[in-house]
Amino acid sequence: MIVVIVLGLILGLVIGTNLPYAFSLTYSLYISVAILAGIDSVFGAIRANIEDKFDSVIFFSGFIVNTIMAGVLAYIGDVLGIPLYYAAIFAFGTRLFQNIAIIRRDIIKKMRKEM
Amino acid sequence: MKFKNIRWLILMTLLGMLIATQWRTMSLGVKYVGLGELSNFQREVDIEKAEVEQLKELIAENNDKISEYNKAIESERSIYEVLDKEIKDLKMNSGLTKVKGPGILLLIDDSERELNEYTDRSDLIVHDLDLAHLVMELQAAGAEAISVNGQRVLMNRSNIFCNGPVIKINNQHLGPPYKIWAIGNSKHLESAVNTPWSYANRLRLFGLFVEVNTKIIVEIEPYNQPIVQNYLEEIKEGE
Repeated sequence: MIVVIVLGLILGLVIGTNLPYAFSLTYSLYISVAILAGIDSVFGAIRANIEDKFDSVIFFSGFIVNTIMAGVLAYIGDVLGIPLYYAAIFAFGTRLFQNIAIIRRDIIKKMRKEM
Repeated sequence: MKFKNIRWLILMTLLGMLIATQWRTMSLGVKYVGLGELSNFQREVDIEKAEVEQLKELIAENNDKISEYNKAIESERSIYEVLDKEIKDLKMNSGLTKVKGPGILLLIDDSERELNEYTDRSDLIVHDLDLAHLVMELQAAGAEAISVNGQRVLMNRSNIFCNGPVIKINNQHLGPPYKIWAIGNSKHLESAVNTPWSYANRLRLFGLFVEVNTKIIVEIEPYNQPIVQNYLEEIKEGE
């Protein structure tokens, strides 16, 4: 599974760097928030996978909806003059680190069991 | 490969593409600009565009003039008439000709109020700054020519300056009462003087004599001082 993730990521990076299309600068902030949401979803999925609670529907819907909504919210906030993207960065950033910590603990637990 | 893995691959590819394109955008060395700043820039661009429009109008105007000259050259000799007319217009614009038109007469005189221990005597006389302010107010109300006691006041030439008991305008000493003649829309000029917040009205409150009359015909003398330009140099269009 991890192999597939890394493979997909590398493939995407290669395609992305060679794509003739680039985002308009206007959207760069929204895209960056969306990327954060996507990364958060992926780490959530890895954690669920390790805990054997992985539900693919929840993951895929979460990935797509979170990514889009994060960008949209950042845009709405910008229109209204509220820096809503801080909220997205805070929420997803916090969860990201929490998930990383839990993944670390899970892996350590597994390794200890095997020893 | 299982079906689940293919979906994983697709999603990760998408994420990787997003990251890579974003990274490319950011590495162009440009900065994110918020919507507010963007609209500011937009406004600046609009201002520049308006300026360009104005310049275009200027070009069209000059082209008209050129075609007029050309027409005059073709019909021979009348080029002198065109140039003559232009010189006359320029002279009138710069205040070098005697002019007439509808306007007002504004009379200002020192106060006849009795001095007591609370009044400062300088509150009761007309100062150079008072005259300058009145002239500026008339100018703002659309006056096309202004004179004070027969001295033409040009915004870029005349000096209105205190000289003890008298006021110096165009290097001539003038004493009260001051007669300010102005050519323009007489109703506008009159109400510019009479409006409650006008400088003239403030002088009235101080007790000075202020009177304004509209005139059907006002005649104003030309500016009679030598015009010297020591420091001015022309900047050619487009330089």
